[in-house]
Amino acid sequence: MYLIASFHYCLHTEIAIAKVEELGIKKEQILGVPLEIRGENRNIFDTIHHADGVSMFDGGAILGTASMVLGVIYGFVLPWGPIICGLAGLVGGFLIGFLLDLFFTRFKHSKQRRRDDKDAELFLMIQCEPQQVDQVKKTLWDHLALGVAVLPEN
Amino acid sequence: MQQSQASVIRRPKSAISTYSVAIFHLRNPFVTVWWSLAYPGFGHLRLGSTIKGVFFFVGELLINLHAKLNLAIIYSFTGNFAMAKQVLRLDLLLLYCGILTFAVWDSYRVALETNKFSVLADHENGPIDPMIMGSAGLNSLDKRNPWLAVAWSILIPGAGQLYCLALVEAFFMMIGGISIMYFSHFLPAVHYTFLGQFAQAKAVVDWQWLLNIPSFYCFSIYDAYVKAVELNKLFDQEQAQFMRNNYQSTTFKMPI
Repeated sequence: MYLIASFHYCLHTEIAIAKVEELGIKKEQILGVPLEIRGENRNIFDTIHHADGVSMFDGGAILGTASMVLGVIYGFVLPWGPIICGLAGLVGGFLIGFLLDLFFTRFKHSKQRRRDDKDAELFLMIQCEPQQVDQVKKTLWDHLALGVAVLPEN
Repeated sequence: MQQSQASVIRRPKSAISTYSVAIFHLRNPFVTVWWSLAYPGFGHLRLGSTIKGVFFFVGELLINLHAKLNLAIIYSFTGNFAMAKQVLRLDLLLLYCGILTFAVWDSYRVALETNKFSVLADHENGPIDPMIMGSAGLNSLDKRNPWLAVAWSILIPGAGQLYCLALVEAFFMMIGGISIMYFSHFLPAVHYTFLGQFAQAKAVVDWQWLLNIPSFYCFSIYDAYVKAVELNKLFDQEQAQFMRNNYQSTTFKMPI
């Protein structure tokens, strides 16, 4: 019998494999297929959107900092003082930067699907005896498998 | 299982020690330039050149403090140019231009360089060390929640860095952040602001020091977020290597 399960990259996945091995499954009966994740290509200059995964944060952080500095400065003369003006600058600047980023990312890369947290990142295929299936299946589910399938042997 | 092949790897992706994890990953050089402009040294901290970054940061802080530059900035932006000229002290002022432009230029240069190393490291795909233990402490790669890192850095500048295994940087951010908070009387001002006593909040702050707060706070938050994301990606890469090296036996009986 074969069991096929999908996982995220996380420590639970390694523990799942360790527990499956403790059930008497040998290393040679386990096949791990780590997937390459979409959108991690190697392009030196277009790093915002593809490579470092922080495109939704760069614009906000930059504009937020700049507006916060201005808010603190003009808090010097405005009635509400530097703290509220600074915070208003930070929130306003961050939102504008974030929205601009979102707009440009959508605009420029509408064809590229963004990475979804629910996506499987890793597949395990385990070959075992029919009487082991239930135990192995439970172990996989117990360690955060995203999905498990059972396949009869030809 | 996996033996250390340090001597064989020419372009390593990362290095883990008991007090930090250094990673070569792609970074936008212009965002790096921005952080160097916001505060000389932050561009370098972002690139992982921690000591260099701290060096620039302390240099700019001392020169700015002596020259009363922040105060002059506030007066200039509010139209009070006569006062701006009056508060500036000229002993070290011109040196500031040098420090600023050097930090910006150097961080841009290093950003391009680390991007090249990052491409080469990804191509070489050498083994990544997932954990280390030593007398000074222990570090291991695991998944981090980037928004949790953000939340911690909002509460305490540097705490997000601590969460993301950057002990040296976190130490600096905490000492620096607490010093700036203390000398600017930022927290009493927050207190008065929340009580609605705006005039008192304005009166209590030290404006020269207060202008350091925005860049410092925002960088601490931004950097913690990026560090968490990159640690997660390094973890993924290491686990994928582990799978390929250990669970792709040629004797595996394929179902078809």
